[in-house]
Amino acid sequence: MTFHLENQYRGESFKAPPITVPDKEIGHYHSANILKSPQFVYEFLQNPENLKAALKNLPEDIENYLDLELIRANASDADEYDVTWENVEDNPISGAITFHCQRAPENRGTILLAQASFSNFSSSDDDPSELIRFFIKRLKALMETGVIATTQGQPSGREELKITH
Amino acid sequence: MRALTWKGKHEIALKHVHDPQILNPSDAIVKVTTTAICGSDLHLYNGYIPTMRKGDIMGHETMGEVVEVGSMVQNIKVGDKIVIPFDIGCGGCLHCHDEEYSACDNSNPNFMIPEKLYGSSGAGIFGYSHMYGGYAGGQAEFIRVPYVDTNSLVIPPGIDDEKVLFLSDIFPTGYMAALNCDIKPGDTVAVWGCGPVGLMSIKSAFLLGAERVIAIDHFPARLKLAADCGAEAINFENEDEMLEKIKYLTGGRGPDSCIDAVGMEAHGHTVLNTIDTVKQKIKLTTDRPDALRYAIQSCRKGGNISVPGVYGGVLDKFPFGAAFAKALTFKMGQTHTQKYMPELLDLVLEEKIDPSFVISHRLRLEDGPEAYNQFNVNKDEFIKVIMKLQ
Repeated sequence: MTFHLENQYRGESFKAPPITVPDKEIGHYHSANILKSPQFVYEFLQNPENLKAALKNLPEDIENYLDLELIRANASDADEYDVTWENVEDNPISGAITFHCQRAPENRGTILLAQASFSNFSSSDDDPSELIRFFIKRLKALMETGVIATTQGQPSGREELKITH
Repeated sequence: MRALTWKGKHEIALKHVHDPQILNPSDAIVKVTTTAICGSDLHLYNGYIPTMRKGDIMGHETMGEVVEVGSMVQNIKVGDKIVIPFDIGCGGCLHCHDEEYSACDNSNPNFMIPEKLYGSSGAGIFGYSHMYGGYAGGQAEFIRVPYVDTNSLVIPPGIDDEKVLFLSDIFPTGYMAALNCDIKPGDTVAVWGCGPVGLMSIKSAFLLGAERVIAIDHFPARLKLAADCGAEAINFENEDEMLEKIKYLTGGRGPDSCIDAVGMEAHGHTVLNTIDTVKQKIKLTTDRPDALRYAIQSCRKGGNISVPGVYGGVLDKFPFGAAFAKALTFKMGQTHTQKYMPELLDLVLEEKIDPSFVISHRLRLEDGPEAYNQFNVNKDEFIKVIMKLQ
């Protein structure tokens, strides 16, 4: 990963703009509170390596179905930011995910709003909305801690270990 | 390495398993020196916490020596002796920043399970089901500690493990339970359950200025320990009108605060608890909240209910009308262990408290399976079991 962690961001007192729920037709939407500045989140989301890291080992090998390219990154004067990634044209799955970053109320970091719309996103019974939620949670974890919590590879009594004396 | 693993209801097995390894660069590997069985481990043992899997490594009260650290670790080094909090904070989210570590946003890889059950997910917990992350526990020769910079308290050299092991859970849990009572001079605190957390709650209530503590249980040895701590001990099995007795002892008002250190497996012979027991056995209810019912009924108007005891689901016959009518304040939850560990270590080092008074049995890891059995069926004798690995 190419990003580096900044100190936990609390910012200064701030009254945040309201959040409206998007139309259902838009696809899947999720949000997360991230204890980083909006600028940090904005820069983080433009780095393809960070998105790849968040997609890694997701159920149904989502990483294999997505080949995202950055098509828009926009900063406004009001400390609000938009980043849109779209699947490349020749990918059988078409669609895009748009991130909107804005300052959280008072001094609580950033609100990340994500809206995704993909066709044929999942070939299985997995709920695409849940997979997007996984993706957002992982992005949040990477931004806040630099890692994604895991237990894959830890010991358990489910493995039979032969002991030689 | 050797580890105590969950085989199913009432079955714990000592197994040889792979050694843990660094999985994330913020991890450390710790060689366990001492570990304990917690009363809440019995909820797993008795099959009341869902999402356990055969082979899961048990244990969340653990300390030991750091033997390996990941590349992102900054504050902990190989050779440090650390106590490991039972709940896992990431150190980077809003909750960890606000010292609400048990509400951590990032440490539970299985966050979807509690999100569905509870609306949102709290922190991962060592050895406490897949709902809480499925982390391998510390009743083993080694343990991987994620986000070790956040989840560790370095112990100065020369301190006996027994004096500091309980900073991992029961001491901070009892302390937070007492803090949640907002104790004021002259206050009376009633504590249901004189197991290790209840005993730590009693000690902590006095440390925080309580005038009196009333302790309720039915195991004579535990009540004796409560009395040794300065509490007025009541054996509820000897009392026909326990609520009346508590009211009489408090000048007709009731205790200013009531602590439920029992949780989801209350004992007793009330009609409601008998119904709870039957329904729990046939899986029509998740919890037996009789201690909590008594706490609510006993508490004075405008008083505090503090709940360190573990609950898992939906409570039947919960007297919320009484709580509303008496304007009670409720505080509860898994302990923000990391928040309290440093100040409680200071109390231990200043010899203001020695938490080891709760230890009843000092065993080896291989004694673990039988220790679980005895701790479950012989609570009067088995009050707190620790297992020494060195």
